Amino acid sequence: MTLLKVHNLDLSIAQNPILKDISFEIEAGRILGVVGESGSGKSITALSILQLLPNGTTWSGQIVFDGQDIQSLSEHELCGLRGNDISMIFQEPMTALNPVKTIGDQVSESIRIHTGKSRAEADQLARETLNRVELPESEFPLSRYPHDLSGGQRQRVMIAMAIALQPKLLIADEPTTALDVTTQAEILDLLQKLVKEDDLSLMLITHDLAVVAQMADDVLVMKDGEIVEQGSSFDVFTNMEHPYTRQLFSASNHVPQREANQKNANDVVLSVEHVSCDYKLPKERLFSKQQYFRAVKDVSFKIHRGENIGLVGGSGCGKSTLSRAILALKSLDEGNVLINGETFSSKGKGPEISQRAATQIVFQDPYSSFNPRHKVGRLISEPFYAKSEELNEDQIDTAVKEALVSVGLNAADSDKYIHEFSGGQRQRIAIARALIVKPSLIVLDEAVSALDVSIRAQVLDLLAELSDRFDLSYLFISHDLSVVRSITDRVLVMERGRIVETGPTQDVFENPQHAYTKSLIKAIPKLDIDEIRAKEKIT
Amino acid sequence: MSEQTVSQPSTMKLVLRSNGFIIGAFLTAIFVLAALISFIWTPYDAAQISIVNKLKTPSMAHWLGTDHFGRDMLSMIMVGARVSMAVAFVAVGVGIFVGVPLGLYAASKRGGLIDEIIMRGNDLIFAFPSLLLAIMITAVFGPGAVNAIIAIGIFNIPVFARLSRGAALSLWQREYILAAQVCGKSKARISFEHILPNIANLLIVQGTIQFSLGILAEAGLAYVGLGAQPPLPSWGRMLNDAQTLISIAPHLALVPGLTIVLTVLGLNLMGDGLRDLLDPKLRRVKS
Amino acid sequence: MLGYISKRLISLTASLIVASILIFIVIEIIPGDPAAFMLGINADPDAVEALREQLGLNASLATRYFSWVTGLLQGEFGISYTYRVPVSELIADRIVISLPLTFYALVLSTLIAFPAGIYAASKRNSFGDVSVMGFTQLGVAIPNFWFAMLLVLVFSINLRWFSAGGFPGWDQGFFPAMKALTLPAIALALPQASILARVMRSSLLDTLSEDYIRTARAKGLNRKQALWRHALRNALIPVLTIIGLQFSFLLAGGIIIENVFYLPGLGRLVFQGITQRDLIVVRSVVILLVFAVIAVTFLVDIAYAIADPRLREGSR
Repeated sequence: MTLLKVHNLDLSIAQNPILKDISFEIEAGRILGVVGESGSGKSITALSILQLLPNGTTWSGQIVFDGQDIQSLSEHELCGLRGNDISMIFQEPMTALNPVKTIGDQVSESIRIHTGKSRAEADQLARETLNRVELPESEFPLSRYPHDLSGGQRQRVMIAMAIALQPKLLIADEPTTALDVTTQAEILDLLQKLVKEDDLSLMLITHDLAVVAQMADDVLVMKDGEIVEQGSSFDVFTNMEHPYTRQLFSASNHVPQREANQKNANDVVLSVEHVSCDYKLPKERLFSKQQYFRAVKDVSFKIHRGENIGLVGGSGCGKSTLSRAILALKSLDEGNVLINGETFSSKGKGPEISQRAATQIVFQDPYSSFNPRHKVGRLISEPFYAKSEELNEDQIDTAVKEALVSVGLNAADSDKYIHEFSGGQRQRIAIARALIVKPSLIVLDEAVSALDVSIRAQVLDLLAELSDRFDLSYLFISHDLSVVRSITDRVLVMERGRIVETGPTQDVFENPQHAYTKSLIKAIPKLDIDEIRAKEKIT
Repeated sequence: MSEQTVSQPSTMKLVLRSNGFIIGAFLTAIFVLAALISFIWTPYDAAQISIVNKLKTPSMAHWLGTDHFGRDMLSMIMVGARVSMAVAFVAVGVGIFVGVPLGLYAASKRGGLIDEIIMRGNDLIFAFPSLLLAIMITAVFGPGAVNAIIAIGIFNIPVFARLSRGAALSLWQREYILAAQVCGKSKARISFEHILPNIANLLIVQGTIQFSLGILAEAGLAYVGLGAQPPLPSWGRMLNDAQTLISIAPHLALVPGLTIVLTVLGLNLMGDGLRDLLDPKLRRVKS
Repeated sequence: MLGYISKRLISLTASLIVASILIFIVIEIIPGDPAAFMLGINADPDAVEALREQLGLNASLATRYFSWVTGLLQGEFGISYTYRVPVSELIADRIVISLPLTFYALVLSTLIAFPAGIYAASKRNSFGDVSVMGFTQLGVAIPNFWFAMLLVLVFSINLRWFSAGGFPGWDQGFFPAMKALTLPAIALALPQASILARVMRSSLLDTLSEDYIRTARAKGLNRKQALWRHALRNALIPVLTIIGLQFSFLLAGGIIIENVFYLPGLGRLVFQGITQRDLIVVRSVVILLVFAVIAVTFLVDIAYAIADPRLREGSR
């Protein structure tokens, strides 16, 4: 039976066309995966079903849910539909819950608003629903507030709110994008279980082809506000008729070409020796003793020249703190960091300014990585501050242009401001900034995580090429294991401040030893055509 | 994450679209001009007493009428504008030049003892009802324009210190600040090179608001006799003089009162307009 | 919650101590010898010296500070130089006008601002919103003492609904006294209400764009329900700060407004104290008002904790 039918949907916001001729159907009890890169219009498609569109939106076409034409419904009738028959969960669990209301209040509100049940009855049902999303009463009483829940736990509360009244359609907009890979696997499992138990339909929106491959019965591929390919999961993944689908698929599985280089075991670029870092905890009472939290515990490892090392682990495992400590952005509480054999940072002592040129960093967010008030030339040349020799303006100018060209941009771009560039271009500029002082080591802190897959593949290629060309070493920090797998030689797995496993990337991924590594690798969604075929045969 | 950059309308277009800003800038310009012209020319000598002409309502000879001593109100307003604006302007300067460095410094030492001391000091100034502090200061040093500046300026310090600290704290989380630290730049240098230019917009907007508040505060002090002293005319004292005569000559109260209202209104409209023009977030929403 | 309150209490005490030292020093450096003032210009130097001794003006600074503070703690402010009566009596007579006036104005300001701000935010960019914002823009620009004069001109002189000034005293009954405070309270409240309404509106607009409002709408709440159930309480947090600050503004504004309406309140007392060099009176009133402001700040902090569970559990 067809639960939702969208027919010839055209939509524009403030006269800018956003969606063009969108038509698709969702069958009862099935999972529809909607996949596309940012700007493809997948979220707006979902919001148009709920009619929660931004001001200034106009649309035409037909949306029929369960026999009712959405356009003919009044706002009051739509309110009766939302949260009752159609529910939605969003990407950012950290901000999607009201911070001043208890989780019980927020779940039971959905119930009270639609059913007119008494407070006690609604609380009872809220309790049962929270149990269903695996938030047991002992740890998660109704009276808890969202602020001390983790991202995964908040997302479970969101799901509880959405399914409390057993809706017919659940729309999940990037529900796991902000979560760790293990948490993502748990949430996806939970969604799959709920779909089966309640016989509900799920519209799962994601940028991650692997998630769709693992979850969806039917697939919709979107690009620039249009549907480029749709069909059953099996058909889409085996045929891949549209070139864009093929491009997405290959970008998702992309492995950059790298030269097999000989590593000199004696040429150590970075040596981390028994490093520990503490954070002050907020005091419980005014005069209680200052408590510390040890975020990094006795970590040691080496990086050789030209070597790419991956550092993986869930959020809060200490990988960011470790990277800050290596760059001497945070002081060490124990141990030493040596760069090119010289002490760079040790307990209570940071590096000389002139030593700073040996390491650089590229951050995750291409938008907050640059001072918006400076031109690109000035932004890129900032690391020269750490160089001891004085350079004249011509030399700096030449270096800026070289750096821009080597990351695939134009020399003339140095006169532009950063807002004139796209996310992918900005990340290239960030790499140029790191490259300009010819450092030995670049720390890549989730450097490709914010990029769409096709852009990500290009940036990964660029990084691989630069590493070969300049004998650069990378410390590649990421929660995205498939990316780490594709670009690194060796990998370090971090859990609760300690390195629990280390080894050549291939070995660790194929034959993990530590239980935590095993759980991480098991949680990675797989984009494997054979598995999709196998799944099709079962169903 | 989007591969399209946001197109921004040009600044000039936005200026023209913002009616509030234009009205505000126009009003402000009038009063600034009046203050400046008063240095070289006023219709009459603002201090000249002429009992024959007292309490005249507005006419061709005296556009805004005369007061109970027969002084020309327009001339008094023009000279008064000078005092009001000078006091408020210098007081804003005091606030910015003392408050902003304190706030930036506190932010760069976040959570440290110095940060704590600076912030508690700010709280302490806020604990004194503003006018009370001004009254105490003028009680110590005697009334006058300079002491009015000190009294109002002291209050501007914590305003700018808090504003710049708060804004700087969020900027310190930005990755470009970390990148600058990776290059070995000191916190002071980063505050100056990266933080200050990025909070300048906020400071300009707050500056216009404090400027208008300064004009109100100066008028209040002058009204109770603690501002600029005779023979220098001032808007606040003109209102005080008018109070006993309000039933016979209401224009004595209306003229300086409306002057204050229009000046403050102009500055506030300009400040709001500036905020909209300078805030890139709003720009995007509007475009 | 207890930990939070005790922390705030300690910082409150610390501010009071520092404020009292500051006030003491400022009053000390005011030129002029109170003893000489009291005895007149032609006083005998020996008599002045004797009076200085009697007033305790010859003791060391620290001794005088401590005797002042210990006196304060017992409710003893000292003897007024000019009135020759305990300052506590003078203050008691006047505080029954100044404090009710301040609270009256605060209540008026909140009662005007909340509905106006909420209405404007919920009807964003409508004609109603634009007019409310226009009025507040004007309200912010009006000096309260001038507004007071206009109120007197219209309601006392022309319409004769209210008397132009003075205070009958609370013993004449509650309503006549409140009536005498009404025009001053309106004059004080209107500019503050304008500020508060603007803050309320912008704070509400900020929270209305938060993700959890979208969540609430997706649950099936309509716009109004989302505003009242989810946005309002979050929006109140910054508004509380402003209400706390307004108490201080209103107290200070009261000093001027009392002059416009010839109300015998603390403001008048402090002015007389300054012109007559009655520094004990000035010092006492100032410390009292500072104490009031700090106490209200403390109450606002408590209100924060009630509004925001993150503060209550001390995790921030």
